[in-house]
Amino acid sequence: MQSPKDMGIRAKIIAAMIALLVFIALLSFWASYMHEKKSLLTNMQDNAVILNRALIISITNQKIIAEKVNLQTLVEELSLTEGIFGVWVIDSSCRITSATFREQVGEVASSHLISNALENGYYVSGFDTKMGEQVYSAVYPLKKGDKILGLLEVAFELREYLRARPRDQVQLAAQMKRDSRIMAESLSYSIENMRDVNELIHIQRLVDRLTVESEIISRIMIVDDNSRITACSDLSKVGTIAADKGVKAIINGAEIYTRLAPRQKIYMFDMPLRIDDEFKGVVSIGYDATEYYARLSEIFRFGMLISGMGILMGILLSFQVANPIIRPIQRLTEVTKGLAAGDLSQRAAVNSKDEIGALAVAFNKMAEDLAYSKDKIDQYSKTLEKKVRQRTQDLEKTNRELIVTQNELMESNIAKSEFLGITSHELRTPLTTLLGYSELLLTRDLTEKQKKEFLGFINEESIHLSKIVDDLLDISRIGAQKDFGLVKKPVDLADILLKNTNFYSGVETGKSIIVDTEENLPLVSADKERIDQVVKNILDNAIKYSPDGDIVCKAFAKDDMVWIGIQDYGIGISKQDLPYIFDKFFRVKRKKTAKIVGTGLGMSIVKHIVESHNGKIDIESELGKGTTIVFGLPRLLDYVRKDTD
Amino acid sequence: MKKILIVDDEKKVRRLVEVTLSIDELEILHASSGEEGLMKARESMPDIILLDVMMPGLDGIEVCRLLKKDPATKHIYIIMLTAKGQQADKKKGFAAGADEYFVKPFSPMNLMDKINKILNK
Repeated sequence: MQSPKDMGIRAKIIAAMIALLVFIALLSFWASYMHEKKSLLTNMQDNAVILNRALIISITNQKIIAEKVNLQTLVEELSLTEGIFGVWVIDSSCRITSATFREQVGEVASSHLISNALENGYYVSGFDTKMGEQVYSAVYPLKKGDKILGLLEVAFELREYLRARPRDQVQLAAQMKRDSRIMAESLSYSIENMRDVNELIHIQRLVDRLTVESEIISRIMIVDDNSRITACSDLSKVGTIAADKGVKAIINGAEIYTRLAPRQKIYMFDMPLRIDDEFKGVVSIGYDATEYYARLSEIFRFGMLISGMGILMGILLSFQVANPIIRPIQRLTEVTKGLAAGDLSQRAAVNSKDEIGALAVAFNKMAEDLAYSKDKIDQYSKTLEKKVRQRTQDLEKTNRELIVTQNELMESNIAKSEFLGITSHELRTPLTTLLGYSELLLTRDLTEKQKKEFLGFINEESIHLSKIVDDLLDISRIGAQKDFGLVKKPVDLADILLKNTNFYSGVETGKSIIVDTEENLPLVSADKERIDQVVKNILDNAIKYSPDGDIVCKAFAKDDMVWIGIQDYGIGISKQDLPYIFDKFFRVKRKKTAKIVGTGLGMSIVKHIVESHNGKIDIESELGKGTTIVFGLPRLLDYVRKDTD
Repeated sequence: MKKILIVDDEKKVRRLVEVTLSIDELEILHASSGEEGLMKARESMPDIILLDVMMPGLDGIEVCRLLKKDPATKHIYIIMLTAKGQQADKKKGFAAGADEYFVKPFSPMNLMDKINKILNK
């Protein structure tokens, strides 16, 4: 099942509205139902109150009527007795309730006997006049306890008394007094008994009749003040003790007690039975509540029907309400998807001025901003790409240069280490001679010849050592980018070449040096000593690296330059090594050169000196065939050569 | 008589060693290259060889290796006498089978003492 979180807005709105409408419908239904129920109960209660009161009144009236009817019958029967003129039952307010003469019922009785009896509360008798005739009346109070309920008056005819002799009249009077008293007491007793019996008989009759004839009464129960059932629809319960809650409540002082018995569909209504404000018992009536329950059921069904219709209407209404809200949002969602897919030309339709319309306007603004930003980003991206490409190329170039530099540095380091080793070796070799022979000179007894020989060795190696130190100082100057402090003067290169070739030819090299110089060679502006150093270095190398073969030296002018070329036919230099021949510390690594003295600095110094004179130097070599080094210096154009130069 | 062979391409060095060790009990032999030194060693079977490293042609390390490899010459006491004084050079020398390593410049007296000690053993 879909969770509320995953529901769409439409579903949420519809669900919320349905829930609200269902709640309202159920609330309305429940309120209506409760109202109806209360109304029905009130109505039923009102009816029950009326009915109960009517029943109580009926019971009371019935009792009174029955009493009266029976007393009248008794009175009329007694009136038929020989010698009795008439019988009257008078209530406590002296009103005649039964009489031998029916027309007198309701009249107020008045006589001195009645007055006496009421005042004193005991039997009185005496002569009296009734309806124009002389009678002997006996008035007897009808009591219940000490309370006088009324009077019974019996009037005896005086026909026999009047006919009797005076002597007999006294006896007759006494007998009448006695008889009237017995009769009155007897009658009073009969009246008492008759009233109780009639009362019970008539109430049960009333109960039976009401139960049978009334459509709305299901059960009636009359209970005396001792909870004993005196009359009941179910005759078998008469005489038993009532255990109903309502009866107990009324006996305990409640005025009304009602309850519903859903199973029996009865509405029980209990009220106290009072006669002359005196509590006599309980009247409990069970009203048929079938109609009440049927009505409730009908209301419930109707309510459910209305609620169902309400929900249905609510659903339809929800769709009607939700769609105008959802559709623009759906359209906005579609546009948003299009936008998210990259189509920045998508715009939402603005069809209303409500919040959705405002949202669409804001969305369109956002889309425009987004398109603008994307354009900017694209432009920036292109620029950035270009920049990145350029930077990458620069970096690659720098990297390549760095790699080259690194390699150069590494090679330089290697060359430097090698140089240090070589330098150390080159220094140690002459030092060995110096230290060794000086120690021998100091410690041994040597011959003069030996001393001279050893001092000669020391001198040679001192010069050699000095040359090494000079080279090192020169290379140090080159490394520090310092010039050599050149002192330039007009110089004849041919002179320098000849001087050096003569020197090396003089040395025991075993080499043949061929010199060829042009006549009247132009002069150059140069530091004579440094150019001499250049020629000496090149020649020295040519001799060192050519164990066999001659050396050819030339001096010539060409292209405003004066050139010196020195060619040997020695071991030569490989193509691989040739480009590095002028590098500092570079020395060709070969077995054949292993013992050849040199720091690898000479050619580097040579190149530097030549270039310091704005000159040019070039080398050609082939492995095993020899090497040619040519260097040229700019000629002095305006200088007039003198013989003395 | 004990024999000592000096192998060095530097004439001055050979002469220095010769004068240093010039005593009656020693016969001093000379060689100016590796090849010559190897040949003389095999021929004369010296007691001690003073061997330079950097020489044209066969260098001292190679000569030492060949001599020590050869059962006939491996007993010869070889002292490397060289200007190559770095630690790596010494390692190479000892790896080739050298018994002693003397770095130039050296004191003739010290060399003498060393030779005497070796010979007295």
